[in-house]
Amino acid sequence: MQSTSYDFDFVQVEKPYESYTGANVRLRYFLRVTVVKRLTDVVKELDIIVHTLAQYPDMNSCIKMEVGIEDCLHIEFEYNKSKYHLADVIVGKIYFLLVRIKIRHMELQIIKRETTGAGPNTFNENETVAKYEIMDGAPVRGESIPIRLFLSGYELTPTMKDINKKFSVRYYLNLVLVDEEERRYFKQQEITVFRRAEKVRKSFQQNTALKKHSPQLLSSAESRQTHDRGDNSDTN
Amino acid sequence: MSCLVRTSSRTWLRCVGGVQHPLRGLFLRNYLLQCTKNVLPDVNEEGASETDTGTVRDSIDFIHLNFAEMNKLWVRMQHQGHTRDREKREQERRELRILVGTNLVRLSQLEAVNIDIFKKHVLPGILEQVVSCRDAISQEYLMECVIQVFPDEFHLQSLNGFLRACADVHQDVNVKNIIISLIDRLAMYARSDEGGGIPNDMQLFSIFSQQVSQVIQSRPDMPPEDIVCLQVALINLALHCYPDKIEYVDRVLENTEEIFNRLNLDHLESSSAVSKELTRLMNIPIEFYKNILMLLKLDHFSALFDYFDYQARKTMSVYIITSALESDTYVTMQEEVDGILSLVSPLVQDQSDEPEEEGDPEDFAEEQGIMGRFIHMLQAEDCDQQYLILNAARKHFGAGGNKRIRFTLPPIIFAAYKLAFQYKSISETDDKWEKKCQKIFHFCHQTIGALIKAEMAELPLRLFLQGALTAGEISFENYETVAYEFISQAFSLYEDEISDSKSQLAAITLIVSTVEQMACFSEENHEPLRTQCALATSKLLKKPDQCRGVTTCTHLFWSGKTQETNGKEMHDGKRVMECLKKGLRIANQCMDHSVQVQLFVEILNHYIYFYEKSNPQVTVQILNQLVTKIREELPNLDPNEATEQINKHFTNTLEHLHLRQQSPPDSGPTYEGLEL
Repeated sequence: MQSTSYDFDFVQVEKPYESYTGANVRLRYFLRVTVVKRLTDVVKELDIIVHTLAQYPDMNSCIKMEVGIEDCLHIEFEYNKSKYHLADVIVGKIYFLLVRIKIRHMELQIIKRETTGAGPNTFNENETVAKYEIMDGAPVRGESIPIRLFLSGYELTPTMKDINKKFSVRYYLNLVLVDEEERRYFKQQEITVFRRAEKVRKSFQQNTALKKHSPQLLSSAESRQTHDRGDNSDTN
Repeated sequence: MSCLVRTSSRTWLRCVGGVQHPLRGLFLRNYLLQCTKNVLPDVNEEGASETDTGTVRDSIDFIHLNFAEMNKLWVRMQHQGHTRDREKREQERRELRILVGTNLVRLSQLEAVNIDIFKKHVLPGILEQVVSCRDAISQEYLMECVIQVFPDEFHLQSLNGFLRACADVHQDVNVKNIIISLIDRLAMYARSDEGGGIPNDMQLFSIFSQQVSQVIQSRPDMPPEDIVCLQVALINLALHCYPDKIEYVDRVLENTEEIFNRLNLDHLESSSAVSKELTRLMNIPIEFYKNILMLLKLDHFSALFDYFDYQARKTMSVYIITSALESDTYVTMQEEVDGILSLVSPLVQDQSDEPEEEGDPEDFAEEQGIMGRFIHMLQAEDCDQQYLILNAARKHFGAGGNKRIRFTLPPIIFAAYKLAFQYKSISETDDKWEKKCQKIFHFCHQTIGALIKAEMAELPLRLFLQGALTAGEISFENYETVAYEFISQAFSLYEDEISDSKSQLAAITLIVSTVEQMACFSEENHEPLRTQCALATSKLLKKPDQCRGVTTCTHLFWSGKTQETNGKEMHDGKRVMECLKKGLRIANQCMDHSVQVQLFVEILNHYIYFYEKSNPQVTVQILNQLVTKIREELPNLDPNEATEQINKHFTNTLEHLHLRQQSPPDSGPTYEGLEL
């Protein structure tokens, strides 16, 4: 046996969507090599991860809102932005305007909503990807509770809207207050998550280039790919 | 670098805000405080480098913020949970207080904080938070904490601010304790060497005095004992910081009196808290001056006295007098005597509010005994003043009623006798001394008369005898008459008032010995006295008493002195012998054998005494007879303790004779022919 290599090259293949694996939907790119033989063909596949760089938001206003239940609880919350990149920090605060219930704790959740299908067959899958306690104990009127939620620790994807007319992925910040009788009070706010080009720092690159995969490295790996008979890009 | 510190420390502060659970929040913030210990800048504006490393102001702000938040959490604990758990919760809070207090400790550890920064930034920030939290537990602890953690110099410079905050705290706060602990601290500081005292321009006392009255006014519900407690602290301050400013002490007393007046307090029960506090207040100057005459300079001291009930006034009086005794305070002026004795009048005279039932007689005796001792502290520098003093004391004590004068008049009489001796010693410079002595004896005579009127006999009798002896020693004009009068007074007391036979013997023995000692009488006066003594003794009721009395009289005839003998003993051996024989005759009449033998032995001793004094009437034969007689009688006695005593007495006597026989003295009679 002798190993042989065949060069191949796909020029300008469109990869408009980002790779995605969800509960009910998966978007993948892969190379498939088929060696046609007499009886059964030999087929090999290799996945390619595609990250798309989103457009950076022009407008990124804060989210600020006063909500409450009359004569019971009034709070004002503020998130510093409405659009966050994947490694961003959500900074904000909750200001208690009126507290007549005994609150035990307060947490901030990130909910990922994956929507598949269309029309009557629309199906929503909600997943709480992050739960973060921002307050412990009962506050009194006038307390201001800070929020600092680092997103990098969670496995988030960018917000995806109507991808290939098949599915969407949206993120919501859910503020939950729990009182001593386990009653829950909550308010959901949608946020947009986007992918930002990773900052390239020279020193950083030299030391860690081999250990850490940056998008650039991945895309160049794509062109170094060997073995070919055909290619396919496919969405499930 | 510290720009980073500044921003990051603020971030930390914000972040820990998420913990609103009081307990966890307190511990978290306490932990934050610890963690930042080495990071917070501790330099002044001048010391800060140009790159802005931050200054101590940043640290103060940081700690202030953290302190405020912690205090809020701490206070909030009070309002959470069931009301029925309140006590438990308060206990829990008290256990946690140190967490909050650590902030203040941390502030006090900042070395760059000087008096100026403290006054302008550190203290106002703390006080603002403390006052505004309106929580009694928190305020009480934190105010106390402020006092304890910051140095005295700082407190001195920021007194007004602090004290004003004291007036603003919650009604439930025991503000008295806070102010007291501050005053005590500063008073101690003023005394310490390192303190260097209070700055001269600082009216420490006035500041406290004013602020204390404001606090009192702002709290109408404050119990009177707490008010007095504050005054205690003030008086301590006045005494320790301004020992020479007696007017400060007086002002405290005056204020206290005004308050009592306003509160309409009177006759404070001695067991009540306010009475105890007031006692404490008034004991302080006594204790401090160790000179009760200073109390007379305090215009409002005695006025406050009147607010006590009888019991407390008495206790207080005992304390005052005891203080005088312990610190040897001599009272040298008549006005002072009047002042002191009016002050301690519960010990001197009956009081209108005195309880009906009599107190413990032993306690009473002890109190009056103290007064008796005190009289010896009344000592003027010159005799005339001393006379005035004694007269004044006599007037006060004379009104003391029968039960008191027996304790208080005798010392006055003795002091008067002593004064008479003093006049004698200055007889060369004072040409009126004799008249004055007469006056003194007149005074004593009267005073003893007061005791007789109080139906006492034995005591005045002894005082008369003492007076006679004194008069006899001081040969002033008419002294013989005076002495004679005193003795005859004693005699008439003996005859009219003393009925108990034991007391009679004791009294007549004293009279006999007094007459025996005195040399001032002419034969004309001495003769009736000694005859009277002999007569009186022979008239005693019991035979043994008669026997002993009569044999005692022998000395009157032997060593008695008159003007005619020129102060020499008269040595009337014949009369001595008569008395001894009479004694022996009486002894023979005794029915009780044991007593009889005892009397024989005693008479034998008398014989021996006079034999050795060379009384020619006493011979060896008489001695031999008596010894033989005793020898015969002794074995017939029942062996018991009394017999043993008699035996021993007799053996000792014989031994003495034996010794004398063996080695006779160079002069005087020998015991030749004595049969032992």
